[in-house]
Order: sequence, then structure tokens, then C-alpha cells
Amino acid sequence: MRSKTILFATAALAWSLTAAGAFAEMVAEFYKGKTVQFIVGSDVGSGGDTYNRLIAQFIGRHIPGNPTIVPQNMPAAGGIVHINYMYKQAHRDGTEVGLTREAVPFEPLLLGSKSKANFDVTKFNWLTSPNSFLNVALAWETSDVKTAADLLTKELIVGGVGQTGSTNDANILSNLLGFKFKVIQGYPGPAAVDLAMENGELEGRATAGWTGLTTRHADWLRDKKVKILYQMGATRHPNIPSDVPTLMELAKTEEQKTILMLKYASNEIGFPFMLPPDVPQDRVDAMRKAFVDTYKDPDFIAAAKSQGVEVFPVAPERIMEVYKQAYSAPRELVEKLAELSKAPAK
Amino acid sequence: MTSTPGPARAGHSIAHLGGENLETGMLDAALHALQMISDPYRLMILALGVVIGLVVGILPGIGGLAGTALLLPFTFSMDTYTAFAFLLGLGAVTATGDPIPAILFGVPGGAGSAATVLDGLPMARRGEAGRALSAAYMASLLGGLFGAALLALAIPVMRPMMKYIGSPELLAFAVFGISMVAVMAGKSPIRGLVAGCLGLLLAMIGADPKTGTERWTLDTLYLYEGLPILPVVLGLFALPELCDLSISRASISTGMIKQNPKDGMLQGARDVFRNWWLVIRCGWIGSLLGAVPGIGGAIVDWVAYAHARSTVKGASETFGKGDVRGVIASESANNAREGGALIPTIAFGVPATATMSLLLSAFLVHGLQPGPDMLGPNLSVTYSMIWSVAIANILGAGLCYLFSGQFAKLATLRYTLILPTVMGIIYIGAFEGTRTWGDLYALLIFGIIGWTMKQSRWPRPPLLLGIVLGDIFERYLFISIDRYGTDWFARPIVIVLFALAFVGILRPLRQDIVSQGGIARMVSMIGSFRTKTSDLLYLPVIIVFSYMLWQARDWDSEPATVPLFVGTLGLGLTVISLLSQWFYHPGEPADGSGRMHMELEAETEHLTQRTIYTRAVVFFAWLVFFIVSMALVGIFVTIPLFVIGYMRSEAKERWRLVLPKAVILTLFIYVVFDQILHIPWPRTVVGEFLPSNWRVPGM
Repeated sequence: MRSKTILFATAALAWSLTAAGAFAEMVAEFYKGKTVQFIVGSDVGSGGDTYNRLIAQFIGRHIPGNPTIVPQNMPAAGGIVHINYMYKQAHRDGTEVGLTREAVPFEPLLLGSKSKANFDVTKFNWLTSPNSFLNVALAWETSDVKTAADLLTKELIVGGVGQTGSTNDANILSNLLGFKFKVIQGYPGPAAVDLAMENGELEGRATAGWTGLTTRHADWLRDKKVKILYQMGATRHPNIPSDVPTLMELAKTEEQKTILMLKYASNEIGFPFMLPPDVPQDRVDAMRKAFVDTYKDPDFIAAAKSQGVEVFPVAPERIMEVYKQAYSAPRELVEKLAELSKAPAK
Repeated sequence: MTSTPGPARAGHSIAHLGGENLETGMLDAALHALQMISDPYRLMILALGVVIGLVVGILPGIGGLAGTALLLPFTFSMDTYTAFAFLLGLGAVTATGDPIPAILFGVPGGAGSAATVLDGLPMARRGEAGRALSAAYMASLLGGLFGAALLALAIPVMRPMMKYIGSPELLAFAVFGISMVAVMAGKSPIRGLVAGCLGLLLAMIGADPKTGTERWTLDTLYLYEGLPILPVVLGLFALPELCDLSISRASISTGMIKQNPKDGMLQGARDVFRNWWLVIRCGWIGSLLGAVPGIGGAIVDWVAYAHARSTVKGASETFGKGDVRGVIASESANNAREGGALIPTIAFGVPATATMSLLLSAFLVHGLQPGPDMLGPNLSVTYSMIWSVAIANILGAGLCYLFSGQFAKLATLRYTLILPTVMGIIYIGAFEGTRTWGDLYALLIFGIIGWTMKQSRWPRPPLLLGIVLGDIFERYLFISIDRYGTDWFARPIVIVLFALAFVGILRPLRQDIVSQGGIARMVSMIGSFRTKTSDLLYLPVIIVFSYMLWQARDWDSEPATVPLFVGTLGLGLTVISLLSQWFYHPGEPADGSGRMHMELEAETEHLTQRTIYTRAVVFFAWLVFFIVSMALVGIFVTIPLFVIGYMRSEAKERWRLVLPKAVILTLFIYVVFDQILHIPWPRTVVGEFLPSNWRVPGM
């Protein structure tokens, strides 16, 4: 530990005294010949895994010293095992980079003492998020619901996966805005929900990833199989048809807006990469720069494009800002949100 | 995002084409696809995929998923046909390697070949390993081909067909699967039902699908998402066989008849051709069940096995004792599964397995849109995939077939040569479940449960079946009720499957009653109280059921309903079984026939109880040693320590043999699991004390 502190102090001192080039050299010396693990807290084939593997393929050449990059998965317990590992056990020298799921950093906030997650979100060295989490709500062509306004008068049967995600969204929006979602709970995953929608068991989805829609189900958009009811970001996204309103536009009171902001702030940070606490600052800086350079790398851009993976990076400053803001929200607002998450009385 | 303009632009679904048009269209597409695949370069790449698939498939616990994830990026630069030839070549044969460990060591290479063990291992013990392996491969090959053929024919009806598969149908499939518990329970039907109930309860461990209530997680994160299937399968089915091997201290093949491998291979192939109709039926079962998302996987081989057991002649006497038809049934179904799993992926973009979801990302890279386009404008790509699966099956099974004579010789080796390698790989394979310590604890616990069950003749297959199907059952039961009320009972597929399940439960029951000479005669056999020491085993079973029920009392009604029902049923059946053990003393069956005990006979009967238990304790102590040592000094010190310790203490094997073996196995595991698969090893005690800039592998 002592040697790390000294290293850290030296690094901090050096930062203020010498040119950046010198550090790159120190960092390069450290990373040369080393292996850096990129560990994602979800399973092979998940959205996070796709970003992790894609970035791992190219980032090595942008880290000083060109270390070997190895992608790994640690999917247990919905990513909680992973974030606990990154916080407590991972090496503090910059050789283990983590990618958590978008909702995990908010666990302690929303679940309080019930959460099994054990970390302080402000202590991680957040690096970047290659994209936001762009979500929309869908209605199948056969449903009577054609627009967001219809949701106030007509029922829409949607599928739920677990407690978070779509179920939570549907409950909150039903309670807060009066949407008439009927949630059928218990589907094993979003793919099963899609199939159920196609075979008529469900009429729509309260939450569907836009990326998944444009890649796996481009025919739905092309053949007008689905109506997009609203988008969940704060502002209208350039890639989504311009007549689709945002949830914020559908909110009527200031309180509704504040609650929606708290709830959907996390969506802005879709795939947060981090280094564990206590990593020397020069390596954190080098890693952040490496991500920025990777995003500009033409080979990376081409690979992302061919895989249908969107890249709209979120800067580390913004990530920390969003987390700090969420964690400093007044207690009663958080409690209100928890209350709204319960299934509406039938 | 910009969707890559690829072959998938024109938007006609096949439904728009006329009947005649469709047929010629299909034939053209199929021929065009065959032409594309016959290109020598593509065939070579396909063969490469097959070889890699065989290698990853043969190691227990590692399937096509790891291989596909590693190699996926390399396919992005290939053309569409080649890329899928490679990926499907790899994926189609990962189950092909499974029968090797299943038949030779009784270790199912994947959850899908657990049923192969039942008849395969007894054959190997008789000295017929060559015949069993060759039958398994010929059956795999033909089963895979029939599966692919069915797939090719099913293309026009794929999408409409899948639209009939909603949640009630998935529930009905699960019920049908669970009903096979009755067949699998064999000679001890009530114990089988008890084991099945216990399996269902174990499946419901973790956050419940509806409300997220944590059920029986023992406050651990490990159980939060439920018991991982891999350590459970390896514990229940692999460890008990290995334990008995180490108790009997013999080679696997103890039989007198030492078959010439070449004769065995010929005979195995002849066996398959003689049972061609069975192969076709099981191939269809495999590809149909494989196509149902979420069901396939672990039960396909059992369904086929149970089907064979209840349809082929004389099965009740010979199945489980080394009947080659048992091997044929489970293997022909097993290999056809992968083709079936393609259906939901291609036709709906719904991946049935994790491997299939990786395959989907390859679709996107190549500008393909899963869904109607794959059955319309891109039909020839779809056909090329089917051809790839078919050719991969021929190549994979062919390669294994050629080597099966050589593999068979492994069964004649001394146990001290075989066990350290197989055990080491199983431990690491189990660790692949979630890559946490919990996997090794689960392996140990289920190993002990499995061995105890085997020793005291409690059937294990119903337990596994319960674990596999419990989650699906509960999930889709709630979805069906929430969505359809009671209307779903009237859906045609539901009715058919429920009827099959009903018959499936009643028929064995009726057989039992008939064989015991009717109910009246059975009643007359109720006698005075008698007990055996093995009845003590009921005690832990009763405790587990009671504890689980006790825990469930606090839950809300939704997460508690199914567990309470199944738990009460299980507890009731346990009591009935115990009472019948005490008071019911049946003689020989009236008609001389009996149902088979759906279990392997332990080959340890010549030893005293004391020796058996001492050696079993030693066997499981090695696993404990492995866990402790791995926590202290890491995997790469543990492996050689384990190999040396085991071989020296069990049999004083010569150092000249022990040392190279320790080194080679350690190197092998280092290269495969550390360098290629990049398993994140857990932090070790020694590792904590090392200077922070030292990086010792596995610490």
C-alpha cells in the first residue's frame, strides 16, 4: 500500500511539474508487456459484452506501452458480483478495467440497505460510456394503441423481465402519468418478449432498446409492424423519427418532470467503464485518453458500423456529474420513486 | 445507425409467394446454397470450425459458447456463406465430442449427454467401449442429418408454426417433460417423484420471476440467480461415477470380453443401421424440441431415451444395463438439437441459446436481417446454414468415428492414470458455471448427494429434470394465468401435450400395479414394521423439505404458491415412500417382469461397506483439498500438487510417470483456460501477500 501511495504522490507531483509526454513515458513503461483485463459484468452476447469486446479489440494500440487486452465476463447476480469485485478486489494498478450494467451504480440509491452491492459510486475512476441507453416504447400494429395519448384511455399488454427495466418503467409510468399498461411478468429475457409480441401474446413493450430494434428487428420498422409511442431521453434523439415525443414532453407537472429526471438520468450513461478506486492518476488519464483515441480510430469506427453498434460517447465528467446529482437527490424524492415502482392496484 | 445494405433489402416474406412458385424457389435456393458451400475454400473453413468445435466440446464444462465468442471477430472479414459455415461448423459439433467422456468415464461432456451414460458406461465396462462409441457417432451423424432434413422441409411453415408456440405451449412442454419423471423413476416410482419434487424446488432457488422475492438464497449472491446447471450436472452425474471408479480401484473396462476395436466399430455402425427407424424418430425429437426456445438443452436426450425405452422391444429388461439402443436414442437426438435451435434464431431473431445470440451478431455484421427475409429473399443463405450443419455433422462424427477405436483404449487404463486428469478438468469445468467459489461448493455438495443417491438406489435423472424444468414451469404458469386466465387450457397444443403427460404418468403406474398382480394383491403385501439402516436417508430428505417449506411461509402468495404446493407434495410423497419402505414388502413381480432401475449399478459390491465409505471419503476429501489449495496458492500450483499427491498416495505410481503427467496437465490447463479462454481466477491468500506489481498466473 505504501509504495502505491508514494507512487500516487509522485505521479500527482509530476503532473503539476512536467509535460504530459513524460508521463506517457512512465505509463508506457508500466503497461509495456502487461495484460490488461476488460471485465464486463454481464454475459457473453449481451449489449455490454458487445461494447467490451469491440473496444478491447482496438484500445490496446492507444494505451501507452501497447498492453495486451483480454475481454472477460463476470455475469453473476445481475452484475452485483462484478461491481463488488471491481470496488474491493481488483488490482489498483490499472490492469483491470470494468464495465458495469447501466442500472447497477444506482442500486444502493434505490434499494438502500436491501442492496447487496457494496460500493461508493463516487470512489470509482469512471472512464467513459460508449453510448447512452436509448429506449423507446412500442405498440404492435394490431394494437388499438397508436400514440402515447392512446395509452391514457386504452390498455396495452406489455411484457416484464425481472423487477428492473421494463416492469419498473411500466409501473412508474402507470402510477405517475396514468398510462394503462398491463404488465405480464416473468419473461426470461427481452428476446422472449419480442417473440411473444410477434405471436400475439403481448401487444407492446414499455421499454425497448432502440439499438436492438434497428439491428435485430429492422424489418419491424421497415414493414411498419410497430408504432413508436415515446422515447425516454430528455431530448428528442436525432436517430429516432422526429414525431416521437419524449417522456418529459408528456409530463404535466414539475413534480412529474423531477421524478422522471431522477429515474431516467441513468439512461444517459448506458455502458459505464471504470477503473477501481486508488489507481494512479496518470494511468487513469492515459486510459481515458485511450478511449477517446479509440473512438476516433477509423478501424474501430468501421468495425462498430458493420456490427450495427452505435457510438455516442459520454465523457467521464458527465458520468460523475449524473451520479453525484442522483445521489444528492432529496430522500423523499427517492422514496416517492420507490413508491411509484410498485405495481398499480388492480 | 445505418443498416448495411446487404442481400436482405427486398421485403417479401415467403407467405406472399404462390405454392408452386414456392417449391421451385425452395429447390433453387437449396441447390444454389449447396453450390456455394461446396466451394473448396468454404469446405476447408467449415472443417476448421468442426475441428475447433470438437476440441472445445470434448472438455466437460466448455461448450461452443466460449469457442464462438473467441472466434467470432475472425468471421467478420469472411463472406457470408463462409462465415456461417465456420460458426455453424463449430457450433454443430460441440455436442459430438460429448459421448467420449460419457461412455468412457461416465462423465457427461455437457448437460445434453447425461442419458448416454446410462447405457454407454455399462457397455464400456463390458469391454465394448469401441462399439458404444461407434454407435454413438453413427447415431449422431444420422440423427444430425435427419434433423437438418426436417429443418429444410420445415422452412415454409417455420414462421406460422412458431406463432402457435406461446407461453401456454411452453408451459405444456415443461409439464410434458416433468411427466417423464415417472418413466425415469424406474423401479422406485415414489422415490423418483420425491427426487423430481426436490429438483423443482431447487430450480426455484433465487429471485422469483414475478416479484423478485429472494427464495432460499441462504443470503448469498451465488444463489441470487438460481443454481447454475453446470456444477449440478457434473456433481450429480460425473463425480459419483469417478468416485466409484476410485473405490473399485480398477480400470473402467473390467469386463472379460475384450473386443477388438475394429470389430467393435463395425458392430456399432451395424447397430445403428439396424435401428434406423429409432434414429429417425429420435432425430426428429431432437430437432423439434431444439426449436422450442428455452426447452431444448438438457432434456432432449432424456426425452429421446424415455421414448426409446417405452417403444423398443425388450427395453425394460436391457435398458440401463448396456443396451446399445439407449446410446443410439440419446445421441441421435442430441446432435439434431443444434439444427433445431437455428429455427427461432433465423425466423424471428430470437436466440434459443447464448451461442445463438452470438450468431445473431454475426447476422448483423453480414447485413442479414433475421425474420421473414431469411425465408424469402435470403432463402439461399438459410439453406447454406442448413447444409453447413449437415456437413459439419458428417465431418465431426466421421472424425470421431475414425478415432473411436483409439479412444476406447482409454477405458482399459488404470484408474490412477485417468482420474487425476478427468477430475482436474471437471473441477475447472464446474468453475465455468459462474466463475465463483460457489461453483466448487455446489460441485462438492451435489457430488455427495449424487453418490449417496446412486449408492442407495434413489434415481438421479428425475432430480436433474426437476432442476432443469422447474423455472420454466413456474414462469410460464404465471404468464399463462395472468395473460389468458383459464382460456389457455383449450389451446390445441396444450391439450395434446397435457394428454401425453397424463398418459406418461399413468402408464408406468399401471405397469407397476399389473406387475404386482393388481391392487388387491398389493394390499395383501402390507405387513409388519421392518426397517433398514438405509431408511435413515429419509431423514435429510424430510429435513430439507421441511426447512424449505418453513422458509416459504413468510413469502407473499405469488412467490410462495408453487414452492408450497411442490414442497408439500414432495414431503407427502417422502412420508408415503418411507411408510411403504417400512410396511410394504413386495415379492417378485407376479409376471416376472420388473421395471429397470433407471440407474447405473455400482461396481463396488464385492467390497465391504467400511472400505467403500473410507474410499468415498478420501475421494471427496481430494475435492476439498483442491478447493482449499486453490484458495491458498492458486490453480497452477494446485493442479501439479493434486496430480502428484493423488497418484503417489493412491498407487505409488512411478515418479517417471507422475512428474511428466503433472507438468503436461498444468501446461495444458494454463494454455487452454488461462491463455485462450482467459478465465478470471479468484484471488488467493498467497496472492494477497505478493508485492502488488507481481503477477503470478492463477494467484
